[in-house]
Amino acid sequence: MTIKNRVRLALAFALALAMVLAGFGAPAQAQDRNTLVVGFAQEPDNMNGFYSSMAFAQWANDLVQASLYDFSDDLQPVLVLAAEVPTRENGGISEDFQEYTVKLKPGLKWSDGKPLTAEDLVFTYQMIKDPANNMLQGSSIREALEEAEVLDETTFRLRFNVPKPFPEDLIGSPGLSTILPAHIFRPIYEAEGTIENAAENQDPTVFSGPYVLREWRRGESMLFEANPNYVFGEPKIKRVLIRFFPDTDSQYAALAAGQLDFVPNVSEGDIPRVAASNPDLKIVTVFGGYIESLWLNLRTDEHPRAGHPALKDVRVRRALRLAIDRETITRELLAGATKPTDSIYAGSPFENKELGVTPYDPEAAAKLLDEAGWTLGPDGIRQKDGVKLEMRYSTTTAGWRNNIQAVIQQQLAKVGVSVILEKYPASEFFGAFANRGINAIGEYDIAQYANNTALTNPANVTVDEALNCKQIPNESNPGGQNFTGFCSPEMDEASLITKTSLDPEERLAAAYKIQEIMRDQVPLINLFPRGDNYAYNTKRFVGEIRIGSGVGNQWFDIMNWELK
Amino acid sequence: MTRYVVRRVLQSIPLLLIISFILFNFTNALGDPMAVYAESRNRPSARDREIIMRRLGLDRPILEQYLIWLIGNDWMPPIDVLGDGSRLEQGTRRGVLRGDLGISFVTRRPSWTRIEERLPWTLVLMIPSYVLTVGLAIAIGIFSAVRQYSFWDNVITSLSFFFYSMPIFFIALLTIYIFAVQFRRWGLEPIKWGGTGDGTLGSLLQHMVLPVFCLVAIQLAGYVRFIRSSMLEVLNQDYIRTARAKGLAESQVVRRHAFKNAALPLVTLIGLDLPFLLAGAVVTERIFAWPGMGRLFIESFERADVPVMMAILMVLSVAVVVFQLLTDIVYTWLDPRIRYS
Repeated sequence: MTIKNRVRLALAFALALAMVLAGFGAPAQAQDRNTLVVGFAQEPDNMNGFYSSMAFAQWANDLVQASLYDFSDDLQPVLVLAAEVPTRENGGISEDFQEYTVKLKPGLKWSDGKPLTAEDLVFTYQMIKDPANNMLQGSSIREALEEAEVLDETTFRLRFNVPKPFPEDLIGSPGLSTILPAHIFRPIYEAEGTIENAAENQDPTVFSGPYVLREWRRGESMLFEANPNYVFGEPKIKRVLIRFFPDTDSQYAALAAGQLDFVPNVSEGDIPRVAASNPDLKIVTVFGGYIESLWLNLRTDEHPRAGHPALKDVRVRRALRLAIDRETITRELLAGATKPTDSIYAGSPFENKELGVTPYDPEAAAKLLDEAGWTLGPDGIRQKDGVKLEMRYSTTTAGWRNNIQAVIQQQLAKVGVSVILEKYPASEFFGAFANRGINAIGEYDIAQYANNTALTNPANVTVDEALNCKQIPNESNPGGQNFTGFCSPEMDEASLITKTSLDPEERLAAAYKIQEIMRDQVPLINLFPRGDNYAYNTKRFVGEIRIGSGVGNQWFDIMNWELK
Repeated sequence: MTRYVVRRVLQSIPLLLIISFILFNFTNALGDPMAVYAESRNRPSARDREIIMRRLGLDRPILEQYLIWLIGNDWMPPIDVLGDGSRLEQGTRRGVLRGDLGISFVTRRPSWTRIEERLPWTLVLMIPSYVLTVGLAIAIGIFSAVRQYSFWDNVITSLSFFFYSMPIFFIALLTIYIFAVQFRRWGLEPIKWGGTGDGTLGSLLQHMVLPVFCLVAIQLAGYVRFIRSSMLEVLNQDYIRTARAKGLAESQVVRRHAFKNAALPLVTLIGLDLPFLLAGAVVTERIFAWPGMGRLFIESFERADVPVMMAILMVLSVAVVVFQLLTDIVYTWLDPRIRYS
């Protein structure tokens, strides 16, 4: 046989092999009406909700763990294991808000058939309280819980050392990540003194939620099966398969090809192309509790790098807000999935809608900058006393953020403000003070990232942590979280009221006050509330499906979903 | 020979120590493992984050962290978890020298376990791709050399450069688009992709088609050119003319006299490339959702999971050292002129 023939043979063989493989078309992983196929962009890091702060881990956990009560798509409480939401009126919460008495529904069962009782709840609270467990979550419970006790099979009582006006932070799904099966974890705790290293955290075997975890193929998929002992009965869809697609483009391709039925993480900028890729796809946006903002560096030299001197002048900060056309950004770059806002409470019941949204007005911006003494130089960039109005505008490497950066750079140039665009990997951008994280040490003038807002109560974590006078980081306070350096004692006082006041009217008034101060003082420019965008294939579902808000549990209604 | 091998192994010990020190500094400079909490929905409290930093030893100077990585902290004074001496905790790490590659910051599972889960899948993908690449490259390279500047040489050369110059992410997404998305629209049976299938061999093979095709397509050209040029060099040697003058069949000349000699530099190249099969293919694995080592590295990188990154890099470093040694030994076997002492 000559070389030529041999090459031919080899090529023919390779081709034949490729054809055989391609023709292997037995649809082994066929989607049927019993299997919901979900695409996740990330793999959960832990299946015990107390040891993760990752959204995807929370979402996977929510499939297998029931909470006492959830929140629906319109933020209404949905009772799951609890017989009622405790209030002062029904006697569930004591007059001083320090004692909660919670009743469970009767006859609850774990997936292995063992009864789920007040004993399990009390054990869970005891685990949260013990610092030896080193939990990542539950700090608000850990710091305040005095005692948890079983009253009877379905009733338990919690006693706190301070008034706790927000039951959802302590017993609802936003606060109580998971309910631990005492019959599984107690022996581990007694043997090792901690449940931190329990194998059960990674490979759980007993569940209270609508599904049980059957198989976790690391790096690839998680297979869940319906839990016949679920409090609302066995879900109609018998299996849920979560597949991990770390690359969003291939995730969208799988969605377009009909290989995925449901995807919980479509980014705003991608909505148009995802929707266009397959006419059967429906995109649902649920407000998720994040607001994308431009944070301004108002710090002075000792903390440890000062922002641009112009930012100290509130007129400049207002001018920047006026000069950015947020309406166009949300319409053109984010497919109109969201609208601009000035309120740190946007989308929540505590938003003061009367404050309105600052319109796009470059003339007014220019006038304010002139007033502040920053006049146009010969090169088109404003200056004052020889200092140019040129600022460092940094964010993460996320593509959609970089697109927004470029548009804002153009818009600011129109009023004579120059910005230098910088982008960093998130692990560098959000690094701690000790690790010289960009935000923490103030190596920016304008920084773009998201903050959490409050949805179920007016205590706003951003106001409380990221804008508080006491939280400005420096050498002696390296753990400080206020990277803007903004300080308003008046706002800190209002923030304290939102957290501790027992009077809902007073709390709401304080939240309104905070929004007013932020509108006037502009420590940050809110761009828009970010939604949680879900895409699902309408051809696969019977009717429309209800998806919970990001603050609660997106699967709160999954037992009623049905495939065809 | 034995003395040579022993000497090489001994030499590699300080080398690996130096490599590990440099890599440890690099991986630690890549970012802050705590940064992942910044935009998370359930952000742990500042106090809890400080506790995590102390327990992971992230508050220590980098040299001390390296020392802990190397020889563990179970013999060191206990960790002051709260920073005020009220809660002490004895370290449990044994260090790399005692076989403990550390616990992943992200999953709290041993780094080695995470590698063990991913390594087989990477090999399942990389070894067939590599064998296919080298096999095809030898066939095509010899053909091109023997038929230099012929029509088919030009076609093959152009085609291989066409694929060579395509970015892998582009060719990967393109194949997905054509064979999975468009095939379905055209009413054809789409090729399955994304992950490794449902556990049966048939399904696995089908899921391998697209990623293997992409890997072969982008790697092939380099090898083809390499083999073609080293074959051309040998084909012009006097001993080839002699072989032909002896009246040997052309296939004998090419196979026994030319290719055997041309293959020596190829052995070096393969020896250099083999250890990196363990590293997997970052982009390909990511796009095809393949649970391999490349993806594990990127995922660890994104969350600054230093123990896992270090474990992967050290596995690779050791593999490089071992394969270098093996290559040198194979050399003496292939070419009797080479002797080590």
